[in-house]
Amino acid sequence: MRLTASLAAGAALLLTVGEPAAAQVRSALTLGTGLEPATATSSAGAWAFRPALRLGGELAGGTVDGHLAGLLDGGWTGEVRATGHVRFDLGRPFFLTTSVAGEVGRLADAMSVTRVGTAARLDAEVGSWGGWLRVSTEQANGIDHATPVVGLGAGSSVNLGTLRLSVSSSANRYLDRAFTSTPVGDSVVVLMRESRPRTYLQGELAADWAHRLLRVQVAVGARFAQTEGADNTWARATAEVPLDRRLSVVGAFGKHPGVPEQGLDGRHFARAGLRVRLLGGGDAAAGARVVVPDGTLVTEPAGSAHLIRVVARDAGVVEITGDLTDWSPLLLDRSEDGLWETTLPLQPGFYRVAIRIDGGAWTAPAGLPSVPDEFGGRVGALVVN
Amino acid sequence: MTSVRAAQIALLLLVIAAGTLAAQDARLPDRLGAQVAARIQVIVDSARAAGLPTEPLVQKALEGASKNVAPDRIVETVRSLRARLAAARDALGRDTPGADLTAAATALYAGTTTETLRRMQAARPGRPLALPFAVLADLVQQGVAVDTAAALMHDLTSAGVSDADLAQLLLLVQQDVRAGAPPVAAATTRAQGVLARVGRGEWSPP
Repeated sequence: MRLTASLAAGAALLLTVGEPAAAQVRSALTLGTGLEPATATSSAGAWAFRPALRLGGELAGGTVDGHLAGLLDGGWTGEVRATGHVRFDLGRPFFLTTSVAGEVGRLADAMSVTRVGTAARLDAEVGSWGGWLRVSTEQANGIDHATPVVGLGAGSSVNLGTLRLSVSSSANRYLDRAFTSTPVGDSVVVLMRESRPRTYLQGELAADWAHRLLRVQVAVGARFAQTEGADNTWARATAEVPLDRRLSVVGAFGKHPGVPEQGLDGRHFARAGLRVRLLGGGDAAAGARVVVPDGTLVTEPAGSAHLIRVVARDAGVVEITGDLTDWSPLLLDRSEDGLWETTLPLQPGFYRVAIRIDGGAWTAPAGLPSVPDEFGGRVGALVVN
Repeated sequence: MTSVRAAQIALLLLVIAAGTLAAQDARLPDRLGAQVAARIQVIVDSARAAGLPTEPLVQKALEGASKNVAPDRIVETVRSLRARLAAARDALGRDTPGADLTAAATALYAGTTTETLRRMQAARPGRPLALPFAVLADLVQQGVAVDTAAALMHDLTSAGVSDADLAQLLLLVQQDVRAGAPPVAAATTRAQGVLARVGRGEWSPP
């Protein structure tokens, strides 16, 4: 492996359709340097210049995104992924999500991989704790591989203030197609191709920590049983430091896990760069008469659930609590351009909520009626019709 | 024979106990302790028997626990909320949705009256009232006199102002107040603007 330098440029298109229908266009440019694998099946590095174009779109209940990169030697890599999902409220605290997904990729060695499948996931969410079970079935085509894959997974996560810890595990079963040799006499060897069912177990521990402007994610994972080679462990660390609303410093390093059912080895990587958001996001719409301040909460339907967004442009951590979380703090996920969000299965009703930014005091979010909490404070009144 | 009767009684007690346990909300003892939870549960059970929504009562208790409020005050606050839910239901009718009742109870706590709630309901028949009630509570909370806020909301609901317009109105009022405007001036001015937009520009402040 050698140290490499790369330059990547990207643009993103995000279409959001809500109630009423609306569309947003977002784009981003990323310039960076890092260690990139020279081939699809090894970790060997090479200097690379990779102008890249990324396109993505999102509808309620589905996403699609793609990536196209040109290499210095004239080759190119690319991938397109699409998912669709439907989430069902089974009554608190259980939710069922069914999904279909497809992926087509072209690797550095001009080899292609495809993957398509469906999955069902049962979630239980109680306050700051969440747990899930997942079953999936896929068809994975890789390097000299084409196999069905059946997976069973489970995981759990807990929010501890600014720290989110999660653990996940899965068992996957697939057919490993390999050539075996049978000697005949002294010099003749007959090669036979056979399919052998294999199963591997893997688990991953992850921590997501945010403080002020810094957000860091670290993860370690391991795989057990019936896989060959030394690629049965992996780890990665990523960080993002927003410099302002448009500009972030991003960095990541570690090792991706291999994909045995597609014949892909684990690969080391390291990247650092600047991300510039060019369009979309936090700018107030032209002609708008209302200035949207930090701490404003808005909701919109998202399938059978509701997407809750809080505007907090320079925040490092944003939490929400209230009737919708049984008054347990819930850490919101950082989204694009100063938005923090989560999706909750809300029935029509009247919910009292409060938000906390960067560990400060709990306050009634702007944009909602502020009503007395009957304990000497105020909360926001969220009405879902 | 005696043993059969004893077994029947034991079975009956078991069924009753199971029914009682099933009706208890497991969230309460987890967050409040068994003793306080039992006191809250009595209030919740009485609300259920009266046909009132119980989830707001449970949430109020959980909220108190999350804010480290003294147990006696939590119990008293839940009891007070149950009484206001009943008053709101009596004023608005048995078929009133739970969200409207909860918002109405909040407006009552803020200082409005059941007569105001009835007038707003009459001005907006068959439509959700939770947001108008919540905006009313907000205006009162910001310092607008109860009578003024009630008159404003009555005129807005009478004019058929939508929830989206009410939400916009609220944003504008909050924006004006942040900029230093007196709440009553912000509320009346912005309400006039909304009424003018929906064709009721003749509105005048009370």
